[in-house]
Amino acid sequence: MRIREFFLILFIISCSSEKSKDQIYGIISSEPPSLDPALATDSVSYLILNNIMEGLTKFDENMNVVPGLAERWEILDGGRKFVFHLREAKWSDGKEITADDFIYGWKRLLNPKTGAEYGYFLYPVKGAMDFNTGRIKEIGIQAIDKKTILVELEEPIVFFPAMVAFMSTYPQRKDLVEKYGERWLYPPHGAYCGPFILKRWKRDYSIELEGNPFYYRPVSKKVKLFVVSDVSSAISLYKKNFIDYMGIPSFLLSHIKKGEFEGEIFSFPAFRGSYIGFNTKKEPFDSPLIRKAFAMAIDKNEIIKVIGTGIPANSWIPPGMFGHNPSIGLEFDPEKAKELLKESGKEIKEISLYYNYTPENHLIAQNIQEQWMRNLGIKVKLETMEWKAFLQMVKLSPPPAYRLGWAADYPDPDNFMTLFTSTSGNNHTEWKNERYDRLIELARSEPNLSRRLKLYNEAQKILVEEDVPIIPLFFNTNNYLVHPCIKNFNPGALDIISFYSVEKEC
Amino acid sequence: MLKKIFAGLITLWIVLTLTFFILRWIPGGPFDEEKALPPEVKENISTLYGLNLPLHVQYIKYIKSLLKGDLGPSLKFRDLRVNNIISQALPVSARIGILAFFLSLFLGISLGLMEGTGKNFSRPVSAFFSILISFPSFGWASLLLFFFSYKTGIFPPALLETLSHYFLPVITLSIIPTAHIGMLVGTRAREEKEKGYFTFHRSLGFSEAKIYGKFLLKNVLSPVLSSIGPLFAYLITGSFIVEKIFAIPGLGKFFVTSVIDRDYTTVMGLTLLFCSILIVVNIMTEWLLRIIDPRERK
Amino acid sequence: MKWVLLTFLSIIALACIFAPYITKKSPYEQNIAKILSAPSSEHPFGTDQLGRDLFSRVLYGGRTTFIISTISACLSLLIGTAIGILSGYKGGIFDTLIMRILDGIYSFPDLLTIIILTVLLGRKPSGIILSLSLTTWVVVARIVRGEVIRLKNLEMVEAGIALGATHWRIIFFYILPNLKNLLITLFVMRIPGAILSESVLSFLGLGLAPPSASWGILVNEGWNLLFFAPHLVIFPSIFIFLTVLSLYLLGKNL
Repeated sequence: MRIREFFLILFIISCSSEKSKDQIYGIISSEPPSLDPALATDSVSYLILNNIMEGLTKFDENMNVVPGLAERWEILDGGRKFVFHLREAKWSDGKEITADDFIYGWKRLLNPKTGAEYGYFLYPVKGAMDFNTGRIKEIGIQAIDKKTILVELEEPIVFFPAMVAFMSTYPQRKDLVEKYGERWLYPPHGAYCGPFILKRWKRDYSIELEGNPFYYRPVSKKVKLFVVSDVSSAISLYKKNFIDYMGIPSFLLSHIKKGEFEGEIFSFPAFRGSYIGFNTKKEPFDSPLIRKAFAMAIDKNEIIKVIGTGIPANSWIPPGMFGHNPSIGLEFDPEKAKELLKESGKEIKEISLYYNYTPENHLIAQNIQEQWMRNLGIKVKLETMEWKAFLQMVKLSPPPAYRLGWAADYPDPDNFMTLFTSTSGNNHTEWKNERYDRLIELARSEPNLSRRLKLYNEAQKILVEEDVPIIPLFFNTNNYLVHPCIKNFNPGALDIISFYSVEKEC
Repeated sequence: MLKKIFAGLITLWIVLTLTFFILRWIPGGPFDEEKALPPEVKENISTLYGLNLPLHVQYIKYIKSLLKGDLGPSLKFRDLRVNNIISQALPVSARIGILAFFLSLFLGISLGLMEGTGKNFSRPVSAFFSILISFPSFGWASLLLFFFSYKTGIFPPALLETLSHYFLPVITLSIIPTAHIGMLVGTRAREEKEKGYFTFHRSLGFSEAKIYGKFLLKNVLSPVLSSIGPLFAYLITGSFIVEKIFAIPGLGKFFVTSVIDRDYTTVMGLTLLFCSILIVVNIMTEWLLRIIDPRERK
Repeated sequence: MKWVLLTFLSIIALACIFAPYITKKSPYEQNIAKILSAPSSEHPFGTDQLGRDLFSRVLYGGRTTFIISTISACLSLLIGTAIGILSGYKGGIFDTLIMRILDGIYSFPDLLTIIILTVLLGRKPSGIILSLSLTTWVVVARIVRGEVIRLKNLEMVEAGIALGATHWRIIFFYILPNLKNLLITLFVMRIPGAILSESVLSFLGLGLAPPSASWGILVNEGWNLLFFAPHLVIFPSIFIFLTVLSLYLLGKNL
């Protein structure tokens, strides 16, 4: 090392970095691959973007849709058209936020040249899919005036306002994108419409946020997030007071509870579920009787015990979401399971369960293996695969039984239920049910809540009681260690911490 | 020398071509995620990155841009080019790697000489080396983390803020190389000592220090030099384990994550980088060897 | 020293082979009521996340570890020796060509090789064995080649050639016997190397899949609980450490 560098480092030590009181320190488990609303796909990027940007709407702590940059909206034509009225608000460089910023952002997301993975998110908008394939040049969004946006949808969707809180729908600045491309939001030139600005970003190391003075209800706060992927290192950092909070994987939870961090652990139910999917076209799971038998032979409470936390699931819409109904679903009943198996008349000796290797999946799979052996007397072969190879196999030739998860992008049951319609690209069960498809389609445009609930109840019954192409296992919780100084810490069911409301008191 | 460089380039090309085709052949692509993409979206992305062209066309395109010094866009970090990734992460890895390299050279050579020539130290030092290599590096990392940080708080557990943050990662990285260099030096030193010129030179009136410095060290160092080339290459390109455990923004973790993410261009770029560093280092050590030991000039 | 080490290694190996006679507990039987209990008289090493007895898991895991490391050391030695002898003995263009290929393979990222093999063969012992041998034989080949070139120029071999012995005869009767000691040392040193590499693979999440658990997998399973249930990491680590250490010392003392 050169002498100059050595002295530089000495200098850094002498200005020792005391943890400051008006700054919140946290960690993110991975580096956001890119902070461009059009290209971001992962939850870490969503966390950062959600703090520096804002959509037409946003969610409160209980996941209700509340006004964001749109102060109010009107539903027209039975949910086929929406009019959003923007509030008086400015970008962090003082420019006014206009309807054109949204239109530009949506069109950029859907522009085939952008190559946005989340392009399909706006497919419900009229003409969006054809625009995305380059067949037409206009989509169903227009500026009525500088502050009013009219959106026209292909089919009526009652929950559309919940969708436009998502990061892919954030407004974008044409002048910046043209100048800086996908780096338009980066410091120092970026302009932000959320409560924070991106002050500094050391790639793969740290991200610093600072209150946006131009936000319509500004706060002065600082946040510094470090990229730390190893849990043991993160716990050491937390223990040594380098960081104020950290996310902890579920399997650590019960052990931390017993230890020194008692009273600093918080669990938040998440809109994320785990399930076992069956290939309903392959032996032996081509018979609903057998699928039911396997479903009734798993005590989900045992899985929760093994992995440390979570909410056992018999139905598929997660708690906290509209439509959640714990009374639906097959209960654990090993006797009945054995009977069903006999009734099916099939002799099953061994089956294979496929999953991708993570410490948690590994525990889940081994527990299920043991339960099926104990309750049905069937040997289970566990087949682990590398993540991407697993995904390809599940997509191209789904194995008889596999484990997968699903997370919601926005808090509406449609997000979870559409997954298993016959046209869904994520339905790997080969299960197709016209009645189910029809119910989901009706529910999408049903404004009456009690009628909508009925539709979902009926659909859930088909999914988890009658045909059983999947066994819901559990709903995840997001778990955090939070320092007692930190107040109002709530990542919500989407696991997106809004630093706007988080307070640090000592 | 020119011949060596030419041979190196051929090796490079073979590795590059193999990596390119094998990567495309393993299942799973860069844009396969838990949420499957609709075909329309996939088509757009494939067009953008030329992933739907015939494989040989992609290959030729890649080689062409490579000759211009462009390693292509990263498929995972969509705002970065592979050149950016390397230029941002390599200096961090190299800084820690070079520190670890010199530390392990210094410790390895001095302990090795102690083992090979010392009378009383020989056994304990030799046992010490064996202990060092009998535990995987992540095991050492966790031991250091546990005792020096979690329990006592002498050193910060992770991140790179001040000089003291460098301590644990550099030590972790140097443990195993120190033992390897030390064992090599020890063996050579013992052999040299047994050759008997030690007593011969002493009878000629050379001081002990001079014998060590001039004759022994020179004869011991040339074999060390020829084996530390690859070590140097490994150390400066970073270690996944050390970077993960100590949250260091280095290049090492990309060697693992880029393969798992199927970030084709990044895997290619890193393979190329590592391979070229290895080749350059090998050519340089050979050159150095000839300067130190003219007998090698054949 | 040699006998002490050999005895110690035999005790560990025998304990693993005769695991069912040493412990009555099954390494697979789960007990949800006893998740992660600390070492006690009933469970000398404590239990794991599924309430399985760690002591019997370590003993049974030792079988996998020994099988994987021994077979991969054999394979790596076999390929390496064959190529090394061929290359060193034939010399000339053939040797240069082989050396170039070795350079290429050496520069090819190990991790890519390993991932390809796990994708193709699954995370079975066979996949890990192949991964470990395919990434290490090059070094063996280089060492053997160097030694063969040295031996080839010895008077004894030159005399053999002068007497008109066939190449195979020279390789089998003159070169191989002289390589014997080197090969034994390489073999003994390769086994602990493989044990360590296997544990690193497990740490990277590329190791074996259940139900086969090696020591490396056991350490890795406990890794995230390091600060809360250290027994999960400590016991398998001690076994890895002592076994590897005694193998290395044995290799030195041969």
